[in-house]
Amino acid sequence: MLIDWFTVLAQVINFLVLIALLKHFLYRPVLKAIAAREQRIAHELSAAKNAATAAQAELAQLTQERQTLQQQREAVLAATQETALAEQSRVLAQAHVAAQRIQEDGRLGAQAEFQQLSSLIVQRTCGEVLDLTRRVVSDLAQDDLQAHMMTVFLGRLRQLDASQRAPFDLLEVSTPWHVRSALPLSTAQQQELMAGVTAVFPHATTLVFEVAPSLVCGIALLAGGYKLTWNTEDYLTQIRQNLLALPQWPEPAVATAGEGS
Amino acid sequence: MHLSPDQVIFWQWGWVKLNLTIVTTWILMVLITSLAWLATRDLERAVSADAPVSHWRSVVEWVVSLVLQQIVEVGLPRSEKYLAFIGTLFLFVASASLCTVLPVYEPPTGSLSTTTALALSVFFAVPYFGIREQGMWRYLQHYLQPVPIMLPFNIVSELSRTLALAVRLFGNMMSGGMILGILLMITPLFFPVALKLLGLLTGMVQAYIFGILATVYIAAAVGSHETRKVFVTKG
Repeated sequence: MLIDWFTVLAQVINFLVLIALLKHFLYRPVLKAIAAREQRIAHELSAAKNAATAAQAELAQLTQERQTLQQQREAVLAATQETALAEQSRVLAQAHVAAQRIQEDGRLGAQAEFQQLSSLIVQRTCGEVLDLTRRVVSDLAQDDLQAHMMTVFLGRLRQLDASQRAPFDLLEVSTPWHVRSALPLSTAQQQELMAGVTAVFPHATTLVFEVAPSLVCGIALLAGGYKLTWNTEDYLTQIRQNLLALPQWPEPAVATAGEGS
Repeated sequence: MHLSPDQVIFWQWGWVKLNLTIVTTWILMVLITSLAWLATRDLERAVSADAPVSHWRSVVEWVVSLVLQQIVEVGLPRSEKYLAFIGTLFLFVASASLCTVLPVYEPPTGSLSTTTALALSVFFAVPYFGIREQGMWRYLQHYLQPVPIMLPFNIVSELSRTLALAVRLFGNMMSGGMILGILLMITPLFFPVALKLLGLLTGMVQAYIFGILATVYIAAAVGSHETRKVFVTKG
């Protein structure tokens, strides 16, 4: 017979013993290891998930911070731009004011220069005219212009009305009287002039004769802060007015703010 | 030439005897247990230290995981409960077949006594697991399904499949050794090698079939109840 029942029984027992042995030496350790590994993997997965969550949170925070920084940057840029525009406007206004001032200074300077030049021209012209007149009168008419002007001065002095004479009448005797002429007076002319002044103002005992080229022509009497004069001022004024009435007088060039230095 | 290693008796005292089947089985048991011990002796330390996995340990874990997966796929979700029985069945039959590459080796599964012992183990394991999962009354009730008149047919079915298990494995393993012996006498060069390889393949397939059929029988005994429990647990 192919089946030996003792062997069957022994093999069943052997099989059960083998189950027990493998359960102890194989299945239990392997299952334990697999469980531990799965637990570790689950733990690592959980840790990775937590790390991913933390990373997401950090990413969100960084994104928020970046947006905040972007907004702050834009705000700072806008403020800076606004400040720059205000500064630009201020600097432009200052430059405009400075340019206007420079232009005004230039205009005033040119005007003053023009006034000075016109005065010089008038004075020179009058001087030349009078000198010419003097020489013409002296050479052609054998006469002295200075003497004529002194005669006219003394005539007008005698014709002074009371109101014109009043300030001089109140002067003290010790007050010096200054006689200014464009040209030096001769001794005879000085004595004639002293006699004429004393005749009108008896208390004018001290006369001091001075030469004043600025008068150009004519004679001036000064005493106690008052002045009596006859000269060519009226003519000079007329000439100056004629010069100023010239239609085209060149304006001085004024540098604008936009031009280079 | 002998048909079964049972016939090679080393020692006998009355009806107690020590034959080649038992001795070979002991050698296989020592071999399997030693390899298992070698593979798992420092497993716990290696896992706790997160040491690199050795190749041998990987193979052992792969085999155990494969058995677990097959048990689950057949219909037993809580496979760890059945791993010891089904895994030992598979490993014993598979290692008995693998060792046929060794000269003068006769597999214990080439003995009808061994295959009968394994089939009887399955025969008793099925009601053991069924009663443990469902209880005595519910388990016995399935012999009356779908109608009570099916009771004798169900009992015959239980007996016949046990017989089929034993004879199938014995026939395959015995025939392999028998054909190899005959061919060695006729054509000693090429054909024995090819047939040896074919026998190796057949032995592995038989180990797989034996394990799968045992799993199917156990799953049929506990299947619906086991599945419902898992659903309840998951739900």
